[in-house]
Amino acid sequence: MSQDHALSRRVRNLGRRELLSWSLMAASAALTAKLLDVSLRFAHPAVAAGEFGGQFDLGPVADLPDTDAPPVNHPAGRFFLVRTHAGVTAFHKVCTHLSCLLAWDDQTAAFVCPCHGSQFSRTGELATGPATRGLDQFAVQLVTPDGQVLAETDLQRGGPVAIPGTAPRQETADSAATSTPTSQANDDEPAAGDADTPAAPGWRLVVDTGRLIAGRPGRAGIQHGG
Amino acid sequence: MAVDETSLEAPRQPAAEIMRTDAGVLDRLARSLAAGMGLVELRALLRGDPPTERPSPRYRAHTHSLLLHLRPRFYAQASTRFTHTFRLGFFTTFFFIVEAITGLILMLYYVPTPEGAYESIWRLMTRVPFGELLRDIHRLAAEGMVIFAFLHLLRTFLTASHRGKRAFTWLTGVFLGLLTLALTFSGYLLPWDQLAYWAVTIGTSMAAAVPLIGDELNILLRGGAEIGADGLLRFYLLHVILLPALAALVLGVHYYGIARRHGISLPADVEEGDLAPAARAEATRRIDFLPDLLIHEAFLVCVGLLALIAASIFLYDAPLETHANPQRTPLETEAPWFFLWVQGLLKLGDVTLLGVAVPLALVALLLAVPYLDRSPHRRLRKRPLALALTTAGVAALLTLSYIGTPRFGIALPPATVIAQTLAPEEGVGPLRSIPFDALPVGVYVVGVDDPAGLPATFGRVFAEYGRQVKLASERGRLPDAQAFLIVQEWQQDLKRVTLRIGWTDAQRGSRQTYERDLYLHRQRAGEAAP
Repeated sequence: MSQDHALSRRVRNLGRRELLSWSLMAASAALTAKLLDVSLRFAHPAVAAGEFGGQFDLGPVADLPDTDAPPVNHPAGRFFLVRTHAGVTAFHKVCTHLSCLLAWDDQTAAFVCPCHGSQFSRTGELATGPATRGLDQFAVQLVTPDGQVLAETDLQRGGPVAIPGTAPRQETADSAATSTPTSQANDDEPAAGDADTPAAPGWRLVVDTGRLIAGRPGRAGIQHGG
Repeated sequence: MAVDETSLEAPRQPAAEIMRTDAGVLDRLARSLAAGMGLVELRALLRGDPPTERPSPRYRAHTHSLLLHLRPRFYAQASTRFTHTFRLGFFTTFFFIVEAITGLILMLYYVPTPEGAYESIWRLMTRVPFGELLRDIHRLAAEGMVIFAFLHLLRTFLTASHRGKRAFTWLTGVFLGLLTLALTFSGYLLPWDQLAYWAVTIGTSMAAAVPLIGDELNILLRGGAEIGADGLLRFYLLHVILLPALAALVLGVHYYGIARRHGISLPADVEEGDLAPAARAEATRRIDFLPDLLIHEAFLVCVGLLALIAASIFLYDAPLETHANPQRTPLETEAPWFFLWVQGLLKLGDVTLLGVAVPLALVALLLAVPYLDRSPHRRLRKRPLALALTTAGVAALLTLSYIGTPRFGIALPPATVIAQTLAPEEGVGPLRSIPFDALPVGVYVVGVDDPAGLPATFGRVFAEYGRQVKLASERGRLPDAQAFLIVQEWQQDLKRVTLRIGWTDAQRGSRQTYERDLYLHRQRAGEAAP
């Protein structure tokens, strides 16, 4: 029989049957890969990076807490509002280690993670691990009643947004410079967002939790007060 | 049992007769149901008599019946010695089956939504007959499964039963261990209490630390940026369908190697030792599955069920904390005990390195054990390295678990620690254990009021409170401490208990106060009204 012959000799050429078998294997592999892809896409929830949250209107600038007040918890927006002499920052409440919610501890003047003990200073720097970076923060905007954005958090470097009517202390002037008043290019010109200009009535603060700025890596000593 | 020859021979004759008479109908029925074994054979099985027909209908049953086909026909006597296996694999499987059955029953009442989950567990615990018992058994058997799977792994390694053709069975065993952990962890979220919510938040955040695919994995598991309705449903489906199905499949593969390919290993002494020929013959004597092993397993199942039920009734209550609150992480959030070592690792440093890479490396090491272990010996006294590594590994796990406990390395303020010890934010604690009527209304001052003059349980808690305040004061953590325990009648059948601790803050030079309030109702969880 020819079948016996085919079995006994060494197959050198790609026969029709072998070609079809290999094609079938390849097609099955492609189908499996595609099915996996389809399943993953199907199971992927409809969220994109940075899509979390929305705009939170914090009201008139005049209603802000004092510069020495403890951080204000905004549960709906998942952030703590911290006001220092340098300005206002909205820190994400979630620990940068493994997502437990931080609590402000008055006794140690730090944000303390109840899960693994990371601590962050009032200005968001990492004080003790196991977290490896400072607190994440959300973009803060200073807006006029007609919607014009006067100043907003630097999306690259983070840092507080200066509030008009508060003179920054020398020690925090460095971090104050990280905010970028959008209506001016030169720090010498008095303009909206400048600390020496009193705030006009009706200026409001808006926190945009859709834009998250990752905390700075590394550790710093706890800075009390800020 | 001493049996004389006549009684051994006696049943054979009637068997043939019964076949030929009208009673043969029953016999044929028995044969069709019991994989070919007739009435006489079944009786002989229970009596421990030898097979009544040739060829043995018992071995034939292993060929004809699917379920018996999965089981071996016999083991060597030495393999069945209790001190060789301790029945650890058997009980792991037993717990898995208990989980499947109790889980199925619990699914009658469980609702996998954030609105319904917690309430459905409450309903189960308070208004469904035996609901709390079933939940306790389900939870206890899950923990038993983790413990026994771990001990089974240790036993297999220490008796060197993982080499050669058993290597593949070892691999499937490691995967079964991982599936066991995944099953337990996925079930953790389902009650939707604080414990569950935050443990799973941490777990999925660890997934996010996996390089490249981490964020995708995290979001696939959570079903969104935070755990919500989608995440709960995903964990539910993992817990009740995907993971059990996978575990059953891998368990089948794992067991098939034992039943059909290589059996249970012989003890090392039998395989390597100098045994007298008679002793060796005894050690390798066949013990048939039918009936000896089957009856032994039925006995073990009874012991296991009795232990589970008794422990669930008298010793163990599955915890249920307060309803999940995505807005608040409770103090001293804790991983399940079998993941405390991971929590310990996480406290030590980088998530990607210690939370992901180290556990993955550990799994890879376990998978590679049969190929790394080149020792020609099986007896433990000739494998000092294996023994040392096992001891070191277990010691490391225990140490890391200790580091993982909530109090280790997390500096809570001293007053908070005292309040947390007496009345933790989650869980019960001594203060909440005081019966409602044993809480006398009044203001009790530490160091002034004598605990001996108070009702017994209340007095003990108050004394403990005083002791801790005194200790912290003496160690300088609470200078000039003043502590009160205040019990007020707040509403009808509701008392407010306040722990108030005052001290002088040396740094600020001012007086500080810490307070924790508890509201205790006469009808607390599971406590019947008088």
